[in-house]
Amino acid sequence: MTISFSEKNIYPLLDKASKEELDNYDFGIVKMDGHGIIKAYNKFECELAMNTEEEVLGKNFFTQIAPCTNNFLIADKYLKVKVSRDEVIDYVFTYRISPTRVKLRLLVEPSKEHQYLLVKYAA
Amino acid sequence: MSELSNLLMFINQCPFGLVKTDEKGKILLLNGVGSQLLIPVSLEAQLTLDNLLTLIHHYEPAFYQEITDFSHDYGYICSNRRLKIAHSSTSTEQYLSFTIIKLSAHEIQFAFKDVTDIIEKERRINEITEASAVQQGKLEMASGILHDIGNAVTSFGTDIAKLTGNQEWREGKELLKLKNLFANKSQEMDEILGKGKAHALLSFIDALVDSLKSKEQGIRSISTRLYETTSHIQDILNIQRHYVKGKTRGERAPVKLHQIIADALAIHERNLEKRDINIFKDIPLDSPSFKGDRTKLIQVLINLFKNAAEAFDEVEDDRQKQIHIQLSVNNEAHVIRLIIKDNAIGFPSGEGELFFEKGKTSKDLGTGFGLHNCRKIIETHHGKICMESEGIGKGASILVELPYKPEEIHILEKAQ
Repeated sequence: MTISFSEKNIYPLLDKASKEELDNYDFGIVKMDGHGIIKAYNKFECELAMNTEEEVLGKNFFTQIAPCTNNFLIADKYLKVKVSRDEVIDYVFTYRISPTRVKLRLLVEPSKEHQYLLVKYAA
Repeated sequence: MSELSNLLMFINQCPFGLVKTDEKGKILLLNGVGSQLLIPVSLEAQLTLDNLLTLIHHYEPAFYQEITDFSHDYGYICSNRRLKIAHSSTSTEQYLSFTIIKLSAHEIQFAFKDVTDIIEKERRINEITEASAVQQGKLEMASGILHDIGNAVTSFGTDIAKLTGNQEWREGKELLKLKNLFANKSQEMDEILGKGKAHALLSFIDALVDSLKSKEQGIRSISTRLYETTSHIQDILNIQRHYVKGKTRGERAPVKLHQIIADALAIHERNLEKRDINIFKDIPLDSPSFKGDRTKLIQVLINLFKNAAEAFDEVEDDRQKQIHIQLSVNNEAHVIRLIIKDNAIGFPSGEGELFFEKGKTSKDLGTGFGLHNCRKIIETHHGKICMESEGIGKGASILVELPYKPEEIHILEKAQ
């Protein structure tokens, strides 16, 4: 089963998905705990960021892997302002130090164990 | 991890923003912190993060001009150049500091970081420095004024002292000599001037001498009062000089009460001598140190000595005027005790507390200080002060008690 970036009620689907299922999706998926520590990093995200999952697992997404997200627009919404959130914003990633326009979907659910950041190329 | 991944991580972990643009400002490369800092800034400007020069122009056209005016193909365009970003949504200001290098005709490199915290600290330091400079300026001005006033008062006081001391009214004595001469020759004068004229002349001279004596007494009285006023002004100037020199500034420093008593007595010595008051001192020189405001304590003691001295002004008999000053230490209660006892006019028994009420000030030439203020100062030192008398004509005693901390003595005495 594939799901789209804009899938409604996506949270439980992501929670249930296996590693293989996550790797099949055509957008990047970063699965974190409440402190921003990466628990899963799908294949799309690995290619986008030019990382392997082994290189990123257990590291802090906002400070170690994607410092471009370490501000009030993104990181603070996961780490400081802990309210439920399902929000899409335009952003510029710098994984390859060339500006990469993306759309980010911020999925924050303080009551749950894992949080998600979804990434897709902006049109 | 591949070498490329390593390099990318190295650049993205750099703690400041790095951006490379073309000569028109179009962003070619951008690291993590660069994006972290610039995206909110571009959102504030309602611009997309495509062109860094456009973004800079939005906030400061002059800075944009500096960059674009750089005509060389290579070199430093600017170093630590600050750009202010006003965030209207939060009414805050952010500052980014840029170092910009022209890499080639078509490439510009920007390195930048957020220096908002540094600027805020600089601002606070400047405010404190400015306030301190203003305060210092005021103190210097005050010091200058005190110096000038002191000079003027000293000069005035010296002249008054001469006037008070050199009042040999020779005119009166010469007139009396003249009167005696005329009196011895009154018969001859009557023959020259007419009968009775010598007596009239002698009466005239008597009246003249009386007038001169009266004027002499009046001037002497005024001179004495002026001299006392000058002394009083000198006392006040001495106290204020302590403040201006920063000897205390109201701060608590180690003090010894026997030294403060000595200083207050030295300031007040002349007044006591003028009233023929004998001072008897029982003051050990090893009283313990305690933390106190030296200038304020001196003010208290000056006031107490002045009150005791002026209490003799109402004494009409010829008793031998005495003030006994006794300092003792209660090592069990850790209290230093000072008693100032006079044999002056005293006051009705049981009315000692009335003198400490607000509004009850000392007499004409008092410091305006009042026993009320004395008590306030003693109480800020966790001490107490009270006054008692056995009745009118039986003198009065003032008791001051100040605590000390035995465990601090060696520290305070080392500091002294």
